[in-house]
Amino acid sequence: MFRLIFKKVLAILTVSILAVSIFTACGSSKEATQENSEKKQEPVKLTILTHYSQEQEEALKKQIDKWNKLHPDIQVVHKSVADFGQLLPTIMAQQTAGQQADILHVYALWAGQLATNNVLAEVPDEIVEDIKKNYLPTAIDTVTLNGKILGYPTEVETYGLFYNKKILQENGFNDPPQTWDELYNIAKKVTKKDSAGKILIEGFGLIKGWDSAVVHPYLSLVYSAGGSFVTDGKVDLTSQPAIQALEFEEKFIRDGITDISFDAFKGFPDEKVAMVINAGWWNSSLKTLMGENYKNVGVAPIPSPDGKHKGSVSYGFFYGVNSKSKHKEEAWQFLKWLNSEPQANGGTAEGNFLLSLSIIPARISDINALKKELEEPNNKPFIDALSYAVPELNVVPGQKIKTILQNHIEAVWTGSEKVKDALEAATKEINQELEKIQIK
Amino acid sequence: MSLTNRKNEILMAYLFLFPTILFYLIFWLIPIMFSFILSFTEWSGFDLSLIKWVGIENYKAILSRGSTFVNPVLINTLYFAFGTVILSFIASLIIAFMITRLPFEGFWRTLYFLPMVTTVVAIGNIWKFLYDPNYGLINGLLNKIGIQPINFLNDPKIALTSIVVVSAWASIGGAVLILSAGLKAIPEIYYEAATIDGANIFQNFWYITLPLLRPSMLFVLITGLITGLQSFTLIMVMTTSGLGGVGGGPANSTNVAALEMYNQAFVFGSWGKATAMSFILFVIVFLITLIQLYIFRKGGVEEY
Repeated sequence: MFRLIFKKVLAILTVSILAVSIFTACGSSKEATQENSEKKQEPVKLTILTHYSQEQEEALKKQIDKWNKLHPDIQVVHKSVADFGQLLPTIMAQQTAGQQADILHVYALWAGQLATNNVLAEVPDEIVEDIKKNYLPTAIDTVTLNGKILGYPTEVETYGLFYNKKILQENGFNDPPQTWDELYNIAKKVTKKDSAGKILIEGFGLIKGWDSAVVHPYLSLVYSAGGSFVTDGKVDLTSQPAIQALEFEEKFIRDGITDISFDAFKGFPDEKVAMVINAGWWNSSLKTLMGENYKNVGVAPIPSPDGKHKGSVSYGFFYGVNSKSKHKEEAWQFLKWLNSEPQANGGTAEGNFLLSLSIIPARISDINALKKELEEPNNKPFIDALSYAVPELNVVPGQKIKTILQNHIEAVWTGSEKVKDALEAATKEINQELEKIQIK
Repeated sequence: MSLTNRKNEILMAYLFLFPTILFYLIFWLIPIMFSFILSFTEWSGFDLSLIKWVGIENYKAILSRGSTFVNPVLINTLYFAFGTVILSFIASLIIAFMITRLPFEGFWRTLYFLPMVTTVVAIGNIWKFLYDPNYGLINGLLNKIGIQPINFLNDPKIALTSIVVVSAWASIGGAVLILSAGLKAIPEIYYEAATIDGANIFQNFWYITLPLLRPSMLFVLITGLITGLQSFTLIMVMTTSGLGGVGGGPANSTNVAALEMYNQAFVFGSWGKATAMSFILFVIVFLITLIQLYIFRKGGVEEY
């Protein structure tokens, strides 16, 4: 009898301990928060969330360390998700769980999504003034939503035509193409295949499976043909330049000059692709990947049908402060220092960080102060494009619109849709998405 | 047993069950209920205070004519699940039948089970490399015998089938293990009696093996179909560039329900639609399982 009672008591105790431990585990975080708020003497701790890789993170940390030394009362801690694809889901999860970072470095395409969900705090007037006065108009447009600036622009990218000088010269071309016809003819001439029809040198590369690499070069061609993507809040891809641009891409595939299964993103640094349209940041990757052979890389403005028009998409990133941050003032203080205070060489801390990654800064004073370092022939087309590039659409369903267009372009590339049908369908689907936000 | 003792027993049982009930409540029932409520709302995933009740709008939009969830997403999902199950089932049945008759049965079972202990991410990446039209082993071999490279993952017509093959290959091991255990449970005496009566190997297989293997087959088919209908990682790994954008390409040809749910929730910020899709998928999985249970309701060694 005693043994039975003992067993029962032991069992009840075990169960109770388990239950209590679960409850205390839940409660301990609350207590910890209370404890933290009581430690008022400790410096303010700001967290900054980015998608930078380990190598890039090291470069940014150098600038953050400078701030931390100068401001012992406001300490900044950098956190990176490293995988760009996980940045938005991480922000979402952290925001809902109340574990949000104070400062967010985000893709401007998400501006609409973040702003409508009150993720971003109001930008103080003095910072708005600083941005309006000191940044390139394209950079300002990239971070503006419904006339409101959302944060400090950081990298603003434009598109150009990367070409392999060696491949072109071996085939008798000393200059890059300026017109669509020249682009086609050069690409056709330099394309080499083996006896089985396998491409050895691809004349013109199209990169599939990556939304920006599919959509942005296409829209850049549309703009270079004098077309537009959005007019008065509506998309029309049934215009002549939009059709012409996709037919132009399709022609390369149809004529065997482009093979979309050929990975042009890998093939170009391997010197197996002669020409590819891509964004300016690629320069830094190519330098690392190609080493000595980078000398063979040239960059030209995106060709247009008549050789006179210019067209490029621009997209960017920006720093915003989290609306849920308890230290908004300190966060803006840090961002102001990072983005506007000149360092020893005249460039800002952010400008120097971007330069270390071979990325062109968006602040005019940085471009002027770091002129010498930026004065590379392969940077020029991207800097020039900042004056005419059309910013990417950053409305609420921005990512969805981009994916819709990517799917239809790829459907044409793979032969499962015809150009006109694909563009009509894309126009209809995108406008449906745009109508939804107008209704709201 | 007196009434008080009986009450005490019940109370003790509930006390013992309490941690488990609590666990399921927190990590299972509450999330399911929350997801179900979410499916009638519009929520972008950032701020719970911004949830908006929209009634059955999400379900209407998802099931409307021209909805990409119905075509191609649901069609792709069914093709992927049934394709994987049929391929892996036929292959594993043949393999199980063979290895139970071979010496070193344990070795063969281990060999076929190996893909099961490999992570799906690793499998996806290895096969992505094998399928590469320019650097891949398969196309390299085809090229050597003069065959043009096949765009396994770039051609919308064959991309999903190419992933089905990988998925089937990866799931053969588990099915072989279950089916070979089922085969071993069939008494040898049945085969001996049938052979004496003049039955050949195919008749043995058709009239003895298949009916007696029904419970194992049911388990393999149901779990295989459920896994197939919910498949996510393999397709995500094999169709995402890793540089940005969503998987399921080219041109949506490999987009399946779980991937679409992920994209709707985490990329497009449409949590209401994503959760509505998950409940539609639940109903489909439930109905298919019921049909399978009905078809395979009889059979097994105990029946005979």
